[in-house]
Amino acid sequence: MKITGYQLFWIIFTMDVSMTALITIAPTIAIAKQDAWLSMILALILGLAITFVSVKLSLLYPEQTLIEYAQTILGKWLGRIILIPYFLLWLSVTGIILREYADFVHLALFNATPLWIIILLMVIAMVYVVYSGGLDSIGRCSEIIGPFSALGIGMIILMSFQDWDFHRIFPVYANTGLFKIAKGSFPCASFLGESIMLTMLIPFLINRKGALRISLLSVGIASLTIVINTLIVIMVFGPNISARFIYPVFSEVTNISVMSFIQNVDVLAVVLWISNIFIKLTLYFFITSYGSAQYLHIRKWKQMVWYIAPIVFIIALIPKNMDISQVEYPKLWLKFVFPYLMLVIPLFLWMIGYLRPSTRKAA
Amino acid sequence: MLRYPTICLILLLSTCLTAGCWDRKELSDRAFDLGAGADLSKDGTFLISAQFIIPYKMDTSSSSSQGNSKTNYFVETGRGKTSLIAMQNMQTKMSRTITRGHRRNYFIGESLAKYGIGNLLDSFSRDPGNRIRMDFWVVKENTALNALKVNYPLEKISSNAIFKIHRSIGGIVGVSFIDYVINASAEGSSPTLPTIELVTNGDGEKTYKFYGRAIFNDKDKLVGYIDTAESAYRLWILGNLKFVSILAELPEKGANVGAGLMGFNSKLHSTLLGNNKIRMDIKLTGLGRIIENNSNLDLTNAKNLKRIEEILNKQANEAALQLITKVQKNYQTDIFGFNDAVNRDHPRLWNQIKGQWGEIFPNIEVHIQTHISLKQIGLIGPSLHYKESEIEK
Repeated sequence: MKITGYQLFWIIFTMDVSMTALITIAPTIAIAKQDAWLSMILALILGLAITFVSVKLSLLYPEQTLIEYAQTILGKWLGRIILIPYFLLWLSVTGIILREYADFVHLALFNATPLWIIILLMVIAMVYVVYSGGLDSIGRCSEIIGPFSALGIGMIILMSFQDWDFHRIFPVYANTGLFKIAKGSFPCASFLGESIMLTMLIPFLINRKGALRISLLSVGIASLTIVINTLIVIMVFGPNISARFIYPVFSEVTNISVMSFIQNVDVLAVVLWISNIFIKLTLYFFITSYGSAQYLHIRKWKQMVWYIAPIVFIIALIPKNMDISQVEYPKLWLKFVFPYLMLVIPLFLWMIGYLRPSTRKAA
Repeated sequence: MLRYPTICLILLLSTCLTAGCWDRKELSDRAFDLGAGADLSKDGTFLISAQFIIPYKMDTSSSSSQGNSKTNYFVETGRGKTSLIAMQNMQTKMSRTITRGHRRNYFIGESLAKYGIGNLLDSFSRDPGNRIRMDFWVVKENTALNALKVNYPLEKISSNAIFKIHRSIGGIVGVSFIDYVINASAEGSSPTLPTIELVTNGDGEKTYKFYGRAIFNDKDKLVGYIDTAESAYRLWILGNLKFVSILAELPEKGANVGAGLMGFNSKLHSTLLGNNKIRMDIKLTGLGRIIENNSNLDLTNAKNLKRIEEILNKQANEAALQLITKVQKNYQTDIFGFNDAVNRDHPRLWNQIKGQWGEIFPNIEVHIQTHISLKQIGLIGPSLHYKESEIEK
């Protein structure tokens, strides 16, 4: 399994844009009002920092995944213990994204279809892609889907142009202040921090020289897209209303009307978004399957697909309602996953790996 | 290698079976609600009414629609404590599922508007079956049901006539619902809705007339109206006006000059006078062209054109000031975006005073400067029917 730098770019881009744009804009605006875009810029910087650490860490052990070098750096037992939360995270986040996806599709398109059918169809697609070609298939899918979704996002931005009211982003800073702007950056940063999965992807990259540049560029462009979308949502709806939408970008798309002629483009947006989510889900699914095979020393990692698929399917069905999958889980994510699994542990591993070159030779 | 083409063929053919309407709701099972409205019944419940297309009468060939029927839609009503229950009540009379995705206009009867529309608004943004890009209309001195019953000769669906009227007089279509909730949720500002009245047309039948805007207070209750001319000045202050025609009166000649204005701009600047007193300087600009000249002035003379400009400026100035004073005095509702202007200029001050805007707004000292510049005078200089001696150079 190998991926090119170009494929890596689109994998990270589609993965970062989709969920983040849909879910994190509303909580950010709720905290930082019309300065939410400043929060998003802060989140962009945090996201880049996490990406930097993940790639640098991976490049210390270019042939190994996080599963392997965590055990090289910390020794077998401590390494295995520190990896457990990552597995729990990957399993749960795959399930929750599945559920969030299903909730959204159920609300926006298929009101009468049972939720489990929507989830099951996606699981089947995920299993097919991951089982048939692993990371190769994901890379090729994102190579095709990525440019289309970038084009779609660009079109949606242009089409909303006539509804922009620049007055709505003023006054800058004065109504909120540094504390609120900083606080507002966390929901988005915690999603952009998902680029720690680069620690699992770098070993598959054909040409690792450009790894850092491509990863930073990809995360940077994805976050910039989110900054722009945040600005647009604020300019269209103002800070009070947008904070109350569950999916402000979706509502903004339903509001598009170009010369009373191009309307109801939300279906297009939903299709684009579903394909982006598909990339993200398969990626998590692959990482979980491959990682757990390495962890348990199973030679044929594809066998793990048959165990992981039912687990994420069941996890997706656990949340009782939208509040749990969409509000409570991200809160947990923000409290635990973001500070420890995305910031502290990778930084800690990088420092030790950097200071103890001997571990690298062993690899 | 026959496998590959075969698979492709199967995949292609499968689209014939799988592509189609979602959720097995075929077009023939849907009733398209193109305009609806709400009234207040005597017992305090909502009376929701809606116009539905009769699909087989939507035939585009004009011969068939002229025949037996006058209209290709019908109006159905439903009663209930809330919009949802009333819709459900309406559905019990409908053979097809009510589909609201194409609805653009929603009428509100005056009695309901006075009672308060707060209980009505939520479902328009919560329920994904609704579009948020739609216009709410207050029906002045009448009910929504009567507005929906109007049989408008030019449009197939009469409720669509009203947004076309709105568009043709320079209004921005489709944003009044969103504007309402934005202004209602913002600290200090008061929401407004466009207003229609029902009048008798030349043939003696009921028809629509754009009236202006209805002003609501912070409890979502209707408090008053401003008419078409006044709402044009309000839009000018807000910077959203597209075009308007105004007259320059020349009382000493007993004549007037009419100009069409466009290219509007407005700048609001606030200064703090101390003791919670605020001065608002409004600079209004616009470009114009002369459309009629009923006086004997020769407009090719720059001096005369300047004179018209000055009169226009003075009159526009007075009219805008009069409007603001009227709203400050009678309604105490900020419908001009003054709150945002103060927040932009003095954000720190705004953080302190935003709770007391209701007391501050009526006492704002307003100064208006108007700069209309006339760019064109049309195809003739002086009017054609004057004798040479009568023309004032």
